[in-house]
Amino acid sequence: MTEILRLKNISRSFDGLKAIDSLDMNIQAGRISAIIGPNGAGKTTLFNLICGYLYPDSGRITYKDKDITMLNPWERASRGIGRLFQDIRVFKKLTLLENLLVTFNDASENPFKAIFGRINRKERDKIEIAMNWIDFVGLADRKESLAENLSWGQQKLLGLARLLCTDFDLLLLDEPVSGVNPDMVRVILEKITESTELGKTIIAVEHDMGAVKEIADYVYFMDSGKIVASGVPKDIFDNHEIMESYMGLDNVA
Amino acid sequence: MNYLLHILIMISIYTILSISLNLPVGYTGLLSLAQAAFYGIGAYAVALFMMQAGINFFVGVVLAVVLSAVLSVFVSYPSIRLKGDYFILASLAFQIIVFTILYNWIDLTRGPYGIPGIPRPELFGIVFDSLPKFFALSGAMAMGVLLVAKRLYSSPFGLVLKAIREDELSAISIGKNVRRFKVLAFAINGGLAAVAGALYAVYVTYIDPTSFTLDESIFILSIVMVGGSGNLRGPVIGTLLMILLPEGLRFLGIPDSVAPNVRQIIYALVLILLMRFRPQGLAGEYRLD
Amino acid sequence: MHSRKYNAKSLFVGKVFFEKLSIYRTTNIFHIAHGAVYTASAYVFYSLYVSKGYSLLLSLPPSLISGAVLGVAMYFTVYRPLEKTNASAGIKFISSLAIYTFIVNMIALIYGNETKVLSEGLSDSITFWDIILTKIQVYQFISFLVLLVLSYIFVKGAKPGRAIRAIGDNSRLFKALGLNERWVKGMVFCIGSAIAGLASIITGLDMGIDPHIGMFAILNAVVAVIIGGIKRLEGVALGALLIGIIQNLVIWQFSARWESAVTFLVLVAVLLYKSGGLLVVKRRVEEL
Repeated sequence: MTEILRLKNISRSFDGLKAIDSLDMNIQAGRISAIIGPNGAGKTTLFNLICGYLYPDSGRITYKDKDITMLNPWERASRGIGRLFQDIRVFKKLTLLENLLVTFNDASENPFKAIFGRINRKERDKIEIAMNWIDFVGLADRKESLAENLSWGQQKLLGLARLLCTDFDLLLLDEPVSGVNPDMVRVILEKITESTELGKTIIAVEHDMGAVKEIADYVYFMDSGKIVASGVPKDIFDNHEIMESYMGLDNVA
Repeated sequence: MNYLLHILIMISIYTILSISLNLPVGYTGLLSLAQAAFYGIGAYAVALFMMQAGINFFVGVVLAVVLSAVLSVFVSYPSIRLKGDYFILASLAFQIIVFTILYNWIDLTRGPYGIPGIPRPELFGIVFDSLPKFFALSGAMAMGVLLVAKRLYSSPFGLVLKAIREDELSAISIGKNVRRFKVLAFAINGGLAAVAGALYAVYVTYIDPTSFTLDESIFILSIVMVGGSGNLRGPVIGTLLMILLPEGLRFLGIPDSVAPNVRQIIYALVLILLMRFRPQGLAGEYRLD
Repeated sequence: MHSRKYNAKSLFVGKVFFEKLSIYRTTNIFHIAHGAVYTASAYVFYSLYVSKGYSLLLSLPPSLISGAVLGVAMYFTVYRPLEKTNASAGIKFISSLAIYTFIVNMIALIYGNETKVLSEGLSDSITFWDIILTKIQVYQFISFLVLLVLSYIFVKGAKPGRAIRAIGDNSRLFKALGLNERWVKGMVFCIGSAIAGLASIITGLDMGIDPHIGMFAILNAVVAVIIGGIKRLEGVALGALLIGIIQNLVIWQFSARWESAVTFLVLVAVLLYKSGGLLVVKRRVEEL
């Protein structure tokens, strides 16, 4: 198994407070890794550091054997790191289909092509690929709806579809099932697992322990900016010390 | 009849100006007070190309567009990262700098004396020297610009711009180089504004810097704010309103000496009311965020 | 030996920037319409001092008061409703431009577009080193210093001053503390507008007035504020002086024609330099 992401000795402070403290992390490709921990542990900050919205005070981030520590967010995105935000952030006033069409990042997004080119096969191919992913998440009947008219869970699915369509290899999912109806949770978890079968690597921050137990291959327990424990789910969840400290600090579903 | 044609020609010129400004304002949400600068650069460039180098108007327009677009990239690339308010200031600074250059670089532009005697456009032996002929030209060019805008808005490029205005952070997260798209929007803006300038130069045949002041930039921006931005209808409606309204004043018998002031007062009132009650403009799609 | 006339621009810029600064900090608006208050006060003064022939002492207070009233009125009729509807900065800016246009053109309608002189005859001048200053310019400089000191004390020490800084930094917290936001902002506009009026009248006495002096003054003030830094009063004072010096240098070394271009080039340079490394995205995600 190859390592796709490596964080070495990452630290980041805000106003003197250490949000992330000398953190090391190695993510294996093709796995679903879950990060759990109480609020304020620094999970979202960690995601921001990986994606490039924040820069570390010290340490290195290596992605596919290349140092990306100093790259900005869109550069990291174009190398294959995708992010699903806690508040999803689909393009609300664009339709479902448009939300996907906009992910292609290809040469057609060029004003000259727009003015002088013609609608050709490439456009139709794009639509076909986009529909593929819309079907994958089961939203084919809503393809012309505005994204803002979807339910929360459907928007999450759309978010996931977008990430898959953009062909990211590493997907960072920030609370993929929070606030979602139980029946939708099932669908989302299914799709996440299926994505791994397609070769994607997933890192998910989650508070829903049931979800984590169900799909995670590996779990990291974070607290106060450090990884306090890591291992396969069984080892973490059977560890009474960890569970007690976690349960004590946070309300677990 | 002549009067009507004159109005229509001015409407075509301002339609081009407002449609072009619509791209940065309505699609990337960046207000710019530099429109008159690109307008002026287009006018002076074409005038000088035609008169100093004997270049045909239509070739001159293409050259002016390229010049203006390149300049626009040069100016917007470093400024794009400035936050909204500061970006407006930077555009204001550019406007004033350009105006000062036009006014003071006497060797090139003849400064306040202006450039008289600009020749009429000529193509395959047809000289556009009568009002109807000129209207045909300006109308056709305005239509051309509208067509270009329509294609842009409905293209993948346009979709990315819509996405950026919807949620810039999200656009970045799916790998869009937002800066590049914003700069491209500005480049197109600069280029198209130069087209309007070119038309203006050969229409009035005498240009001087006082047509390309900060007030003019404010006026063009007002058109876009009043009519609304983010689609094709908005700028067109804005142009129609802002050009026809003062013409309506004439019929009220307001003396010429105070007419400019009264016009400005009316524009200002319309703007204040709209910003308060309908900030997306009369027909716009995009509300400044 | 060169004699150069020290152009007093920096001095009135210095005064105008103060309330500009305060207004910006409390309301986060680039209050372009402030220029309209500047212009209006000067014209009221003109009506009283020149047209009606009242004495200086009699003409000054009503002019300042009308400026203050105008400023407060602007706040309550235009800005406040926009604040309530959560209008964006861009919309507020456009509205500010619109108010400015409205008022300035009304003034032009009433008084005409030509330059008007406020004080007849040449003023006494004082020469030292190779700089010639008129008496009026000396008053300008003195009032600048006085205002500087007063503002410093006010902002750093007194409760209202701290309140102003508080609003600028965190509006929601301010409201939560139960302090009266409306009152403080109203005061800021009131005092700021009065000071602007003072600046414009003194400068007008020196250089005459026309409907466009407001825009000119406000742009210079904005440049001074940006260069000096929004947060610190001392910085803005320095910025104003710096601008004045630069402008005079340009006029002296090149010619008056290029002065505005250079001023704005400096502005752009400062803007870009200050923003370097501060890409909008590099902030925390939650802030956006």
